[in-house]
Amino acid sequence: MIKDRLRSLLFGEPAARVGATPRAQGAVKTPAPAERATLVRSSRGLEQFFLVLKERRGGSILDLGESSQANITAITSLGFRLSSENFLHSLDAYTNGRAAGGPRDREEFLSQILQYPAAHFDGALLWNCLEYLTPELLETLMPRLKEILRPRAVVYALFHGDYRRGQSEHFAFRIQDTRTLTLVPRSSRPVQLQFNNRSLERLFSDYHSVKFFLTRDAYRELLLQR
Amino acid sequence: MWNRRKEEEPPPRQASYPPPASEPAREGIPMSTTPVKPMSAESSHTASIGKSVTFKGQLFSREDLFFDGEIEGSIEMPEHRLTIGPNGKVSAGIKAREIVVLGTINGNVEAGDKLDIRKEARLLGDIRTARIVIEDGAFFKGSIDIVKPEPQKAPPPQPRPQAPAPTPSAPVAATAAQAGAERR
Repeated sequence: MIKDRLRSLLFGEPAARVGATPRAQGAVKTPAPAERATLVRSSRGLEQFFLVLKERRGGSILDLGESSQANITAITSLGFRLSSENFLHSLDAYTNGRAAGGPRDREEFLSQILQYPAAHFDGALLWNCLEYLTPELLETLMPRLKEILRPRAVVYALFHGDYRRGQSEHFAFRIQDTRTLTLVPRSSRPVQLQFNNRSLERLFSDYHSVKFFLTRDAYRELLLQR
Repeated sequence: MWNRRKEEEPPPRQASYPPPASEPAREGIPMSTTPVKPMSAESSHTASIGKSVTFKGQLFSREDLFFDGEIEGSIEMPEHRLTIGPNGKVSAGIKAREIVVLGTINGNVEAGDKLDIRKEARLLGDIRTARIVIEDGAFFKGSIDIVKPEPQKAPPPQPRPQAPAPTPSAPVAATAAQAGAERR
C-alpha cells in the first residue's frame, strides 16, 4: 500500500488500461506549456513512413493531428493531398461541449469525424491520438479508420513507451524533416488508455503488418500496413 | 392647443442608423461601411465591408476586398486579394487570387496564388491553392490540394514588319514583256 502511495505521488494517478473504465482525471500536475521546452527527436518510424510514400506517387494522406505548416509542407511536397482532421479538437468539443452546443452523444460526434469515402486514403498520421479516446470510442473508431484506408495504406502512430512518466504531457507533433520530429508543448491532457505491445498487436491484428520501433524516449512508434 | 402641441414636437430627424443586419445588401450599393483600415500598406485600393453587414448571395469583386461581415453564398474575385477580417464569418465558397483569413470560413476555398491562414482563424472546408501559409494555432479541418500554377502563356509573337522581299514576278513580267516585244 505504501508502495502504491509512493508510486502515485511520484508518477501521478495511472490512466486506465485498454478495455477498462477510464479513471478520474486531473490528478497529475504538469507544468504549463509555456514552461515546457520544445523537444526534437529523431524518428525511424517516420523515416520508414516517408520511404513508403516516396515509392508511391500521389494520393491522399489523413492527418489526425493539429494542422501545421510543417506537416502540410512535408506531405504536399511529395505530391500528396493532405486531409487534416484536427481530431483532438473535435474530441474536446465532444467531451467539453455536450452542454454548450457541441456533439451531444457518441453518434453525433462520430457523424462529424472521419467522414470520408471508403478506401480513400493511402496513408495516415495518427500521432498519439488513440491514447486520448475512451474505450468505447476506440472500439467504434477503429473499424471506421480501417474502412477509409486503402489496402496496403501505410499508417504511422505513436504511443507512450512508459506510462509512469509524462503521461499527461501533451505535445503537437511537427515534421521537421523526414526523420526528425519536433514536439511542441500543449496544455496537459491526461492519457485515457494505456497500451502495451500485446494490446497494440491486438488492436491492429487485422492489419497486414505491424512494425514496432523502440525508442529511448517516452514514445514508441508503430508503422502499420492496412 | 393643437397648434401649441405641434410647435413642441421636435423637428423630424433623418434616420442615420444603418439598415438592419438581416437585410441583404443589394447589388450596386457601395459597400464601404467601416472606417477601419485593416491593411494600412494596401488599404488605398482595398474595398471594405464592415462587421455589421450581412450578405446573402454571390459577391464578385474587381478590386481587393477586406470583408469583416457575414456572408452566405459565394465570393469570386479571381484576380484580386480577399481578406476575411477577424469578425468575418463566411459560409461560402471562395475563389480569389490571394486569400488572407483572420476570421471564420465554412466552405471550400480556391486561391490561385496564395492562402494565408492566421492564428485566430478557423477554416472548415477543402482548399485548392498554389501556396499555403498556416500559422500555429489556426484551426483547419479539411483537405489541402496544392495545385501548381499554370505557366503563363507567352504572348503570341507579333508579326514584325519585314522588308519587301524581291518578288520574282517583276522579272518574270519583264521577261514576258520582252518576249512579247521580240515576237512583234
